Amino acid sequence: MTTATLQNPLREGLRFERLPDPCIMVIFGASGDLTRRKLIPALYNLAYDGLLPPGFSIVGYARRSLTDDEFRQEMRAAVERFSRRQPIDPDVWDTFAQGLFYFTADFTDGSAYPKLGEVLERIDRERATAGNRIFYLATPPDAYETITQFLGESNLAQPSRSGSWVRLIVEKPFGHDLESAITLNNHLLRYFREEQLYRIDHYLGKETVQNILALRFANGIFEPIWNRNYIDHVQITVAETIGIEGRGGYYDRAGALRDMVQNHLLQLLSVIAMEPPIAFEADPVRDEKVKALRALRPIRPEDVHELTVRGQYGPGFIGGRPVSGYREEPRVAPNSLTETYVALKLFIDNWRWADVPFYLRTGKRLPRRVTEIAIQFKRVPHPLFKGMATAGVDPNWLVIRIQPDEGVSLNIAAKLPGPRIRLRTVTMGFLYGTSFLVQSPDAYERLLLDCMLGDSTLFTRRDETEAAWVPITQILRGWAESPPPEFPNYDAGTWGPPEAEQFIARDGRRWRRP
Amino acid sequence: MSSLPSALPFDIEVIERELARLWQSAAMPDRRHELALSRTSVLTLFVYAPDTSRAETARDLISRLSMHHPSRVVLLVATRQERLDEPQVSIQCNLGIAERYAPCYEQITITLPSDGLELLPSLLIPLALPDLPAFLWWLGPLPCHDRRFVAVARTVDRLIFDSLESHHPIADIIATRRLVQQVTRSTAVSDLNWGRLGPWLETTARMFEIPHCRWALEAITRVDLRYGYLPQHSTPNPTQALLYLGWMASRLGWRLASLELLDNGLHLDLTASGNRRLRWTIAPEPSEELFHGQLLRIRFAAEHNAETASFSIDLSGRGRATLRLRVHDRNHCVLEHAFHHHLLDLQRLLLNELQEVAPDWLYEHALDEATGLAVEYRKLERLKEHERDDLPPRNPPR
Repeated sequence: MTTATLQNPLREGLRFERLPDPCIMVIFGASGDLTRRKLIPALYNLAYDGLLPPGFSIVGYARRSLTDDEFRQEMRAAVERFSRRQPIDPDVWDTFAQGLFYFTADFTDGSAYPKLGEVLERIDRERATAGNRIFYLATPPDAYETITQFLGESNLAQPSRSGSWVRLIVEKPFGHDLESAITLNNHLLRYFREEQLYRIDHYLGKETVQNILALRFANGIFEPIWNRNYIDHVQITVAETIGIEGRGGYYDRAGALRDMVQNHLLQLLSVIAMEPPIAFEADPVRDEKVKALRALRPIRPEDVHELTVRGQYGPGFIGGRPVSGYREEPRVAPNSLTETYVALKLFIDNWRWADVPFYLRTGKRLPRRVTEIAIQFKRVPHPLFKGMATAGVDPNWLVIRIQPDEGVSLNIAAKLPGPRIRLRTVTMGFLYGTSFLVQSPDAYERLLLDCMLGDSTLFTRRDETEAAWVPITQILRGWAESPPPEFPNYDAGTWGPPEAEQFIARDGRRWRRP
Repeated sequence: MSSLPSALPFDIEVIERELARLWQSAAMPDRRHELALSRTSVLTLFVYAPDTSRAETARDLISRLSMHHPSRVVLLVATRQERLDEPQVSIQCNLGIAERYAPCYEQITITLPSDGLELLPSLLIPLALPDLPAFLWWLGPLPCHDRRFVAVARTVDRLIFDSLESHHPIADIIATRRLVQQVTRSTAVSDLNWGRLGPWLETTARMFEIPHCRWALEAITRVDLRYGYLPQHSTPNPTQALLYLGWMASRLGWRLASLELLDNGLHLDLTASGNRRLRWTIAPEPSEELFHGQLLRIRFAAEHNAETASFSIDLSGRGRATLRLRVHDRNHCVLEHAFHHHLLDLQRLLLNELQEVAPDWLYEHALDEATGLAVEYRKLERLKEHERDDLPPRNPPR
């Protein structure tokens, strides 16, 4: 057949203008949990909604020996269990499954990669995928370097024909400290260019995180007061009720600081703190996020004790049910000193945020699952209403809720009706999910589609990951020099160790009850 | 000159007062569920139902819409009865959507005389929430030939109707285009029937983005389009088919060369760039009621030098719930692609429209082209009618 690159005038003006090029996604670690629970269901959902291009194909790469048909059956079971689209549409599944292939090989077997290349060439011919590839590293991080090296050495890391593209999606963790992150990035960049790399942090795929940018930069009323002159402090909370869910082997080496703060919490901090980008495009947005991260005040080892609290849960109750302590979890050392809770106070040393504390906390086995960013504004400069009139009135809070009940609320003081002046705090809120008329897509769906479209706005760039590792590495060093903590120090089902309350109370503030 | 309809037996301000009272009484948090009632408004939705049975359909849909959609809904129900009901005002809150809040919406139901078209602006203007977009969803055939309707349409930001409801599809295409032009400065017009075409347009566009198929866009020779027709219906409704052709013609610069009415459908010859000719056949095909007026299948044939290819897009699968694209080269099917189309989900169609405020220029261009086709179609129909009038029919009229 003849192929030529022609503009398609039929595309213009359609409501679904974002249609990716046909491509093949190779998933390394295709027999793993991430593939089964998240990736294949997300891709099926995209197919169901007609958001995948014709010919889109998936090659599952894993050690376990499977035929294409066996892989299709396993993936169908995964979609039946984990997709938000139920029941499965047999017609959609049939055509989706036609594009599912399996490749049995060990990641460490260099001779397998040229064969993988031949398979991809064959699929290109049969399904018109035009040499476009996404390699998805859904493997343990220690396999990243081996896989990318073999991809590079087998000439799979660069497009094989003009006009086609190759992208690599890397799952967190991106290293375990600054040095290892730099090493990993250097290694990846030996074979791929930065614009080919898509470091995925699924938090950025959440609608509300993107809505923060809309709230800040599409409303004229917030930006003028979004600074040290009006904001007293910021609290970012990511609380989970779950424990480590069978990830003891990984988690006991990582801990809450690496697992949550280095990526999710610092991402939230950077979108709250960043300066307005010149455009809502990948590099301008990421440039500003990086600037905010780089402006984080360095943490000296001797200050770590003052600026952080760590905790580890013991046995307790969640939702009325007894749960075991962290040290009793499978694959966790019985004398583990890994933190499952961390609270931090960070400062951003720039004109906008000088001396405004950012309090961050995250923990497992806390009483509620909630993620929110709460911004407390300063009290009015002159207390016009005195005494009892203002009892129970807080300074204004702007709360951006990410989960559950995604939305934004603003607490303001209002006068109670009646002849006396009595003020009360009232909440004005809008629920994101119930104000607009569609169900939010799953974060993975959004991010996979963005990668296919070549939009890296919601992925983290090299300098971003490294900038985020700087304070984390400083804290880790400080902790390593401190005496070992007395763990466990909070009961499952509570808001963390009592030290966390004292930590913020020292500054004359308190944690919000989210 | 028609007589003025009777005045409504209530004061509009009473409605606002009653709503304020309801919100006041609802302001206490729901102690049983420990929920705060949440009042967020994103739009005003006016719904016009020409009779009580359509009003019931609308009520059901509004209640489902409200699960994700706190707003003010004003249901306007036309009645032929002389005695009009008092307006009803209520606040509906949905439990179980959010953990701590129950989103609510206001619903106002007003009955009005069925000949009360000119009363409508005086209701729509004061009842629209300030600063938020106002939508009017018109159930039943759109009175696009009625001059009074222009004033109604101008009071809202977006008028939503469904050309599948039309009793005179060809004449209504022409009248709708006139209406769109008359209200263009104030109001965007949406046809749900155009909304149903969305997945077809999308699939057609992406078909020609498959690298193997890009050449074919400039080499289409034949298009065969079938749409559903419930034989018990009085007339087929080719509006969707003509809008589809109108879209392709407007995007690709095709011009109508000739049109021929067949016993069952029509042939159109079009000229494309380079004076290339292509032929369309558009014909109804018996179907279930659900698919009356809806596209069922499109087949494209393309030829260039020694290359030939064909493409088909079909409603397929259980309940025809899937849109399936097949690409064939000379010998065999080379690619298949399918997705769930939601064509029959009225709620979803309506939600899509409620998210748009700006005019849909793609629709307007497609409508322009479809109008040109409809005008030619009418000329031929009239010609045929004259021929029938002048000459005794050889066969008994169908």
